[in-house]
Amino acid sequence: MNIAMISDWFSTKEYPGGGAELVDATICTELNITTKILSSATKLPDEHIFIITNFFNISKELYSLLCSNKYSFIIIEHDYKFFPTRNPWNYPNSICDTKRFIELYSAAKKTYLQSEDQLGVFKLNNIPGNFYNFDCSIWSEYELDILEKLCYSSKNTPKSSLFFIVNLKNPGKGTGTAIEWCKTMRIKYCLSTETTWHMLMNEMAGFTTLVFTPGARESLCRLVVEAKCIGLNVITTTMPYGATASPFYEMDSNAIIYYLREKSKRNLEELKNTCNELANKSLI
Amino acid sequence: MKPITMISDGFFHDSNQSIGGAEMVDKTIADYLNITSFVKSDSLKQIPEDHNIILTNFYNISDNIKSQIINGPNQFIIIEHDYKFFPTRNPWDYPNSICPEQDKRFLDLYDKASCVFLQTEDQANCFKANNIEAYIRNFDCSIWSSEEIQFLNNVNKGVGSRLTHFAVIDSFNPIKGTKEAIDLCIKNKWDYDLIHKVDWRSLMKNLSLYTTLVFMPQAKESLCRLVVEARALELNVITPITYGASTSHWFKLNGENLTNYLNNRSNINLTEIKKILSEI
Repeated sequence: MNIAMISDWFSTKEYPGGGAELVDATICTELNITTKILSSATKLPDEHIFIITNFFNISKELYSLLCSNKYSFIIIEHDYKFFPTRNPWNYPNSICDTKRFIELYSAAKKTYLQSEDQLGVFKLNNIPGNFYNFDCSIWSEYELDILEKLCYSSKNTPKSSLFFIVNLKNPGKGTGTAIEWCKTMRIKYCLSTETTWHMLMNEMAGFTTLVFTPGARESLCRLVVEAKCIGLNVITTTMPYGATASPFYEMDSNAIIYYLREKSKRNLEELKNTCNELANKSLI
Repeated sequence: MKPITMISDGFFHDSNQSIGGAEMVDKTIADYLNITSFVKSDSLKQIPEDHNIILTNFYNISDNIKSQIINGPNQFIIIEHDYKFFPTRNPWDYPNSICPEQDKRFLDLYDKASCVFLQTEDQANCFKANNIEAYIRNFDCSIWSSEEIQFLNNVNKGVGSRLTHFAVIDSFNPIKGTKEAIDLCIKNKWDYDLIHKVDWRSLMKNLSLYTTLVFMPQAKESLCRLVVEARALELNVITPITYGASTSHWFKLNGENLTNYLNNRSNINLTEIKKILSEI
């Protein structure tokens, strides 16, 4: 039995993407997934089980096929796609009255969420499904080794007194708000210039403080966790979200890295086991 | 210019007086004007009749001293370090920072003073909003001595790598908001260090090791030298934009750009004090 990944798009060298794409790439590597299907496709290959990640632009055909119960699939939920804007903060009390993709969540064998906060919003909105809380994202060993190295070396790295803002075009990531906050507080800031994850982490390690003020409720937010891993203070919205509402966010750098390593291993194991179970059932 | 007597609740040379920003300003003014006559505001002393007076802190002023100032032959100016017409000296204790008419204090002193020097536009606005009758001049700054400015520049030049933790000043004075700054750090999960003040110079050296000061005053500061000095040392300051220094147009400056401004304004302000005292 093969595993295929379905997503709105996949990371490329030119467009490496963000946290969701990094997670997807790690899952593909660890589960030996080579079949990647865009969510805009209209057909599915037989004798596969599917991991669906981003599916906001899924085609009607694919949606119908997946909801027909003829296919085994799980969902890795990177945000809140049952909201038309994917952002609970656009809705009073994070309650959605025009829910989307309900049949898909219901038909999925499991839907993986990243934090207690994200799970709480799904429960609050009575989304049907079999939910499992990763209580973390998934980082590769390679990524964690880099974070660990930077955590160690950053103690001896000269720090800029400027505050650091990651220059993201996605308005939900609040780059404009972070800049405005710095201007209001008369704090000088530096916008990131690096685009690859590894180089961005190296760049960020030269600062003491990250300002990140998302306009959308993050399901976790790898960036703020990574900033904490390499010893930065994080100035972020007062409304808690994914990572900032998680207990591990209060730990010190080394403890967070250890936590991420253990959790990432367990979460990958969980995914493998579930995929194996689905494969075995399909064979029966 | 007539000889001058400085009157205050406490002086920088008193061994039991805690030295804050106000006392440092008073010392710089006294040094600049070669003042040798100091009278505590609660004393029973007689003020020499041929002296002009600089009244700085006078919250504990005795009837004796007040009566001499109001009714005597001496001319006087006020260096207003806070908001003494409020019974608590803190506008934030009152809705919209407006003091009820019947609670206002020292109105006769403000009215009779030849000049009341304030430190910021924000402080001046509060005096205006409360209709305090006085001839008000705005320093648009505090007063730093040239030695203090030089010291700030030297410390700043000597800074190597900075610490990642935020700095919080460990003050016993509740209005300096140590507890609130700590609470803010804890709530936001920011790593912080408490900085103890032994004396001003060691405080500046310690502060310069950091990139960021968290300061959450619980009283409306007329200026707040600390946050200005932090910016002179190129720290970022996380603080409400609701009081003296933090609302001032020049607070956007830092490092030497700021110390140049402070130096120029201090010289202008000292000259202005001298000029007014010469004219009265």
